[in-house]
Amino acid sequence: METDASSYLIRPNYKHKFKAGVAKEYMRDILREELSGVQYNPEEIPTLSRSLADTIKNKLKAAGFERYKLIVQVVMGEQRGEGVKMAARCLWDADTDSYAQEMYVNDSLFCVAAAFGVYYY
Amino acid sequence: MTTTEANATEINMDDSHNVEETAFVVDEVSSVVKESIEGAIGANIYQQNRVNVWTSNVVEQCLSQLSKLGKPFKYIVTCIIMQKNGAGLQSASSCFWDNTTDGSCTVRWENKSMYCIVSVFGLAI
Repeated sequence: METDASSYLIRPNYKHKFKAGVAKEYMRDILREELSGVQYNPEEIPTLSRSLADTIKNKLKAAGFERYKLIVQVVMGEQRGEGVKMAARCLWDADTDSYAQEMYVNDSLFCVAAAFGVYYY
Repeated sequence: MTTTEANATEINMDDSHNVEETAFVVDEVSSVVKESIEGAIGANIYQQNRVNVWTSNVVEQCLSQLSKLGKPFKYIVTCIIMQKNGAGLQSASSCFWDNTTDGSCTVRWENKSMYCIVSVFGLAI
């Protein structure tokens, strides 16, 4: 990460905060576009989930959250009526850091995407 | 002269100590996570009404053990518990961070009735 004139900032300007609503919209659009009509296929799923994670990360990078480190996690599974639960806890600075989540379900698969934004002081 | 050399040695050791403390150590974190999972869900059978509590316990225990390590890191811990049903599960993550200081660790655990995947992401301050 490069240091420039604003490297003294320890809090983001309110305009540059990680906006969970905006991130959620992006993730919803990407999941809908990439996964509608897709069937669960054990051979393709690893590459599909990796490419989804990269797509979401690139979209969030382009969205202009300056000085934010991004972590995107995508979980995909086959829909067979089993029970699944996902939880997350974070030890961070609640003023500056935030997360967004989105879920997509169709007949043969389910997909959960979580994006975390952590401010780099 | 002896005193000066001894001082110089101490300073060197402090420097390397600092470098070790500020890198994400995968093995240490992975063992902390395994203990937390064993402690929280151990030999339980999957139950729909208890899984909420279990995921919270696993994650909270991991986080409290990690914060006790005392390193200058922000942590994100996620836990997925899935019933064993013959279905497949895939988890992928993509991160935009500083490769030299930040890291992640994923632990897969299972017992007779369920799978548990815990991912820990550590970001240096």
